[in-house]
Amino acid sequence: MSPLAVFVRTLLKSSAIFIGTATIFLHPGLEWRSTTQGVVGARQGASEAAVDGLIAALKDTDAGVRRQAAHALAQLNSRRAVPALAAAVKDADPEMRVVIVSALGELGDSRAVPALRDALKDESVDVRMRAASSLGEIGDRDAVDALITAAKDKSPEVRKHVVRALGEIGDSRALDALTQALKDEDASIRRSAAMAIAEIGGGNSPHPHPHPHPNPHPHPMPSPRAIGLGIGGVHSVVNLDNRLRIRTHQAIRIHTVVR
Amino acid sequence: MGAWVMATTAVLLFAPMTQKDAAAATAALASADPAVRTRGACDLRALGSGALTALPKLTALLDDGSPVDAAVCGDRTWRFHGSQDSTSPGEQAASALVAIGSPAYDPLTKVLKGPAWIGRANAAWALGAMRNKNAVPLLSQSLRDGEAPVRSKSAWAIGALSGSEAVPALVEALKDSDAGVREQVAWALGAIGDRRAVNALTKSLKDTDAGVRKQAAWALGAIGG
Repeated sequence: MSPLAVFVRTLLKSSAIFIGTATIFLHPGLEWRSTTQGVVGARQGASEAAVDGLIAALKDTDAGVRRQAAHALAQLNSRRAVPALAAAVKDADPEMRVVIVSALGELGDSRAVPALRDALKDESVDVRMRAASSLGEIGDRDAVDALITAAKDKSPEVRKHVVRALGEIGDSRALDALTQALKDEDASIRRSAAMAIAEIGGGNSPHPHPHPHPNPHPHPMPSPRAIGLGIGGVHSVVNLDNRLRIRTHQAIRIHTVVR
Repeated sequence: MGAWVMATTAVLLFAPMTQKDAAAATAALASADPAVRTRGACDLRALGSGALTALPKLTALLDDGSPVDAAVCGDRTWRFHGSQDSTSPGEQAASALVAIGSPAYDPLTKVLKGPAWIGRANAAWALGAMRNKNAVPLLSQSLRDGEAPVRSKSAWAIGALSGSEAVPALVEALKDSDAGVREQVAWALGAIGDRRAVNALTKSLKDTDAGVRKQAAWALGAIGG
């Protein structure tokens, strides 16, 4: 290729780049930033108004409307609605309370914990059961004491969800209650308790003292997955006190039996 | 190969019977007994596109709203929204036309503009069930029909077709005088999931009718944040 051709080609390329850049900066139709901001702003406004409307609908005279509003707020993932949803945990309609308690779990906000702790004492089995699951989903350690009490619930379904939630939260304060649950009359609860103990023993919460450490553990702990059910988890066992180790073994044994 | 043999066998076994059934069922459409007319339409629906020859008679039957026990069609009853226990020859003719498919589209659009409101309602439903989005502008006009059941079925049909171009018309229809229509419109807006409906649906949370408020709350959740 002749030097002249190379020169002409380079000139064309660079001018094309220049024209393209100039178009982006000068063309009025390409003010994408302000346009999108305007649209997003309007959308947020509409959504905020919708959330306000749905929060108001939590007090509708019709229970069906209240339930649907609670469900919609969970779908909209509205953290702003958490206090209003938490207040609705005292609704007169048991089905509404089930929806509320489930929605609070889906939103995963710790502000819902006091309301969910109350819901563990609800007269409806469904509400108590879902309250336990939601507390497990939120994973806040402030729920542990209330869940330990609820581990003695008269309904086996509730006990099962409580035991699972205690495993999910992974606080060692629950070990006594979970050890008791290893003797539950219901086989699936015994199995869940064994799993929960293994989860706690697996490194989620190695604190032997009753109050959890405010900071995350400074030493990297082996993940429960790497350890499996604690079998061969030398590191985890080393980090546990004797009491916990015995229980983990007990749990593994029972788990093997019930499985 | 096995599938081909089975398909051929099936065609050989059922083809003559199908033709005979089609003739008998088409004749039943002219019966004086509404239950027999309904049953005929049900049988034709089971034949699907095999009922093509009955197309004009089925179209004519769309106006027939005589109430019939849904059990006359046995297990094959096509359940309509809000009419679980009773059906009519017109409703069953509509579902037979849906089963015929695209050849039924033009006749249905004519009935949608016709003089009898029962026919218009059944045609609106059928157009919604046919999965042809070309019907959306026509159905959008039917949201202003004089009869509430036609408006309601049109709203359902637009929602079933996800006709987002009809969102402005649906938003307008949220102010319908009939609560049943407003409820169906709120459903359609949620099913379409278009954000332009959020403001109007938020207003519907204060509707005088609980069914509308409930459906509006559902729709807002379905549209999402």
